[in-house]
Amino acid sequence: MNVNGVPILDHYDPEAPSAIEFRRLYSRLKYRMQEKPFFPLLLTSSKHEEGKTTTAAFLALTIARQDEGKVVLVDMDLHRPRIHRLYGLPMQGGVSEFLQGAAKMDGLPKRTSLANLDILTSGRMMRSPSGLFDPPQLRGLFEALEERYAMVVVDSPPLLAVSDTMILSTHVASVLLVVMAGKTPRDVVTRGAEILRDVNAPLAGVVINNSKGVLPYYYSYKYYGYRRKE
Amino acid sequence: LGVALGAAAMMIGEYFDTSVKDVHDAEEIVGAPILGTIPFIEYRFEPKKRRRGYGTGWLVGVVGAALVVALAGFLFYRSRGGEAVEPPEEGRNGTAETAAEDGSPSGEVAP
Repeated sequence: MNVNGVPILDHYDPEAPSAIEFRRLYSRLKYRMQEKPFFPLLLTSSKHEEGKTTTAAFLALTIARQDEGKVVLVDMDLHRPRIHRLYGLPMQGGVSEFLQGAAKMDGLPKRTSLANLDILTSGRMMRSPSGLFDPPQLRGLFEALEERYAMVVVDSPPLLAVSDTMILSTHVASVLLVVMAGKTPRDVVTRGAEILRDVNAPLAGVVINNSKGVLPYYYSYKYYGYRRKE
Repeated sequence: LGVALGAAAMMIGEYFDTSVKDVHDAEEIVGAPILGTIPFIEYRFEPKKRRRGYGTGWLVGVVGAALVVALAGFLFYRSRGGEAVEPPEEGRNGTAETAAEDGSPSGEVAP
């Protein structure tokens, strides 16, 4: 295990609008789930480029900063892994090695400069990663993670693109669906939700990515921030 | 005309834009509550990609607009030209050619 530079933390401002909204998201999730356990928490979206990886990366960071226990962020998008890049970590040595049986969980998650946050990267790229999504192997992965971490946050591939996320969603306690406002067609979102419903996935809620600024003005970032006047 | 075309383009754009633009809309479609709306991430961590999507979008728009204007101009020119300009030209050409055809052989034969 080696401590690496964390680019996402280098730029992180706890008073930034996005940071405030991620804390709010986590609070709402906790409030909504009451006493029900909601980890492992899976983040997904209907199609690619809706912001699920960024959301997963920030949510894991937000949770880790709450000091409620050890958090691990898992990159289960073995097709287009990105978490390692956001955290400035090497990709090798992660999910794919574990699922292949080539590595044990001990020493596999990589440490970050945030004491409470570890990252399990996607591991070595494979030609057909979907073949690794074998239910017993996945169960083993989550059991190993839950033994070591209080909170497991999982990033995944888009629902419509591959079957991986559908399979994954049956191994987690809750699912958050990220929707890019102003970009993702309604039918595509409907289809994504249907896929989750078909397998009785524990869909906890939706996260709207308003990075295109298409929502009404009261969602605007100018209403964020409430610091003491100088 | 420009304003009208712009308004028409906007209306057409709105009509064909089926994306999710309303929070309650998303809630209804998915059948789960909205737990958060992320405004935007103020910084990026990866090297900026070339935004080819936008480039082609603009290109298609500009080329499309140019084609529409060109087509309108062509139709306008043809509708006017068809009535007023073309027949006399044909007529003039026709008479000139026939005159030349008539003229040259007769000129050769006459001396």
